[in-house]
Amino acid sequence: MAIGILLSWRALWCSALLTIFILEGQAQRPQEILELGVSHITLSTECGSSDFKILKGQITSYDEDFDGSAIIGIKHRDANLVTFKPLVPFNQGTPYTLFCDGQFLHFEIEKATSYETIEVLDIYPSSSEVPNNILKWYVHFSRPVNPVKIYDHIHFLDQDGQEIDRSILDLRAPLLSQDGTLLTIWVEPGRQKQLLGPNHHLGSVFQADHLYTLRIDGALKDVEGVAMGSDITHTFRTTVADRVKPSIEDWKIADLKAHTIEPLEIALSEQLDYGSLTDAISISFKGSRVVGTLQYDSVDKMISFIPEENWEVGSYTIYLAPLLEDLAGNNLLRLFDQPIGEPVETDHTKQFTLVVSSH
Amino acid sequence: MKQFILLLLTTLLSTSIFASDSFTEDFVFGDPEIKSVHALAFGPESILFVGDSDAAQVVAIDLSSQQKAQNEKMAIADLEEELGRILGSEIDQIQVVDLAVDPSNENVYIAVNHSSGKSLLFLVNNNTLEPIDINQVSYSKTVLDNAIAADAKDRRGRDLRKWAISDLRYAEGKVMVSGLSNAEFASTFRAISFPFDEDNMQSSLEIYHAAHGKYETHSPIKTFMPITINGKAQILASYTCTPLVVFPMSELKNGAHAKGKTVAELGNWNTPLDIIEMEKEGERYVLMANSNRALMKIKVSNIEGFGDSLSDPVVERAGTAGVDFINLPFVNVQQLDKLNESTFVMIQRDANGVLGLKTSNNRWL
Repeated sequence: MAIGILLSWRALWCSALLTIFILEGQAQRPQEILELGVSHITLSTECGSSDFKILKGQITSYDEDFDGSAIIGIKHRDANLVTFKPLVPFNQGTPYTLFCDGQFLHFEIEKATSYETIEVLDIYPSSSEVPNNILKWYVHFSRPVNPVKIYDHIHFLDQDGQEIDRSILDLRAPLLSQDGTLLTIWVEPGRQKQLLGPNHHLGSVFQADHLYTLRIDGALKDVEGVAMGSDITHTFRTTVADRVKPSIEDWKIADLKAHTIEPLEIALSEQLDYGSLTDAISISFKGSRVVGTLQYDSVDKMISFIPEENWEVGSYTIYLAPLLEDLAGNNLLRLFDQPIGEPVETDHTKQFTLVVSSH
Repeated sequence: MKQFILLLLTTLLSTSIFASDSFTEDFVFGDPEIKSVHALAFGPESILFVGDSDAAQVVAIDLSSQQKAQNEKMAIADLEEELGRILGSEIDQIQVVDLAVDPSNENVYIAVNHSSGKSLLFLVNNNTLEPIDINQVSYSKTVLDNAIAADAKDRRGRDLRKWAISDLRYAEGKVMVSGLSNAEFASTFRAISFPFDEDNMQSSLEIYHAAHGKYETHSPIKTFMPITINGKAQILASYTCTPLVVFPMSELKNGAHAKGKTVAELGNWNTPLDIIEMEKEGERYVLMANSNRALMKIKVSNIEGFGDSLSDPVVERAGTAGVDFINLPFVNVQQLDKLNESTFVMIQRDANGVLGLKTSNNRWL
């Protein structure tokens, strides 16, 4: 990994990964920095024995804030070396200053040419049409994304290219998957839910039969502080609002062949919410859960499940968690806009039986 | 000698009694493995509760050994710049997520999340930020059950379900946690007994909205606080869709579905951010920070005056409704906490976009 590269000072002269600039008029003391990486800097004891400081930016002189400006970290000394580990990693491409023995040494970790800049791999739903009361989008990044103020980088634009104000629920704790690559975006529910204050006064975020664009701006960074660079857009057209609970009655399940691991394919009657799908479906055989991989194709509205072991002759049961949602937040039990007083189905798991025969 | 033995026995006995009564009796020293900090709140004995969304846990940290900080004239003009400087990072890599005051010594702590995934805790001391090592502490913790289903993975092996903590408070022997999942727009509210045990109670909540009680709303709680209303322990909560709602703590029963009562609608472009209670000359006030409105002051007596009629939808006028409130001259206040009986501390973004830490006193009440 590029950021993990640690170089001895002697190797620096021939490396493009790291540059150290010595100020004019200052005696060159390149031996002061022995190793440099995003997570630590190793100094010779000559410098490390003094009260050295590391500062952000190219500092060239003292000022009134100088003493309080040092980067926080842990200094570790042994007989020959002094290592400084910053509380958070150094950035690539950001200038820093090492101050020791009255001298200002400037250094910077440059981004490696082989660095794989963060990309958007998928946007869900990926179909070109969605109901205008869509509730959630998902963006899949190629590497862990900077979670800080991440929703500031997500925008919905109308067909004139104007940003739609208050279109996204801004969460202090972003909804990111554990690996930091899948972001959930809530379309402002106060506007999408009928007759709430924001909806009452401003209407829903999207109108039916309009073109819109989801834009992820290029300033968005990965966890290592490297920006994506260019904007990513996804254009979609809205259809009328979906105010009907998803129905499993219309699902079509292709026949399975015993003694194979051919995918179980389920053709859906409508698009489903990507996030609620993965843990909403489970398959059981003779009381045991069938282990396998679930895939969802939102364009073709198709779920496929590939078992790890061959299908056997007999009856399989497919269980569906009641919180399985369509794109508008309607689940198997209730509408997103559930009228007050109207009965809601009791909380039970839907299921149906799949018979695998020997033919 | 007898006197010495008696003294020794008395000391041992009192120590034993004290130890058994202490909230930190079961605490251990080490690394609580905090992955993120999304909410802070103090409980008794300088115990700081940390809401950790990424690890789906609440961690209680004993900060009683922390020295009292020097905060006579507390003010940090540009918090993000200061953090950027001492972390060596850019401002867009830093997020100030919460602020909490230890009521026992008025120490102010600030939680910061960094783009690298590190979460940091700072003590404000003489207007500098001193890092607190949250990897080596005396702590106790509890896992938020079913926050993330262990087998909920997609084809790339990712956990898709996520439950993000929006606020956390302590009262009446319970740590209460609100949050939002990406699976359902619902208002799961957890009340966890403290000291932590197996009792991790969850309730769902429903509210009425002003002027239009046509559809059920299970909107997640954005911020909340425990409060005594008409002599009863209640929760005053504000939702992502802005209404201010009251519900009794007695209705927080495991698996129960409580129906909150709207007492105010505070404006449609507005999202509540933080809420505290202050008192002046015998009158109690709720102060609420908002995304698009000034800091609001609401008399608790006005909330109490709604009485039984609260269950009816309130009548809306000019985008707001319900109890009267007064806008104080503080806009874009993002975090708020009570410093002492007469002073509150806040994090405020000014008109130039600069995020500052400052205090104000109850002359505004």
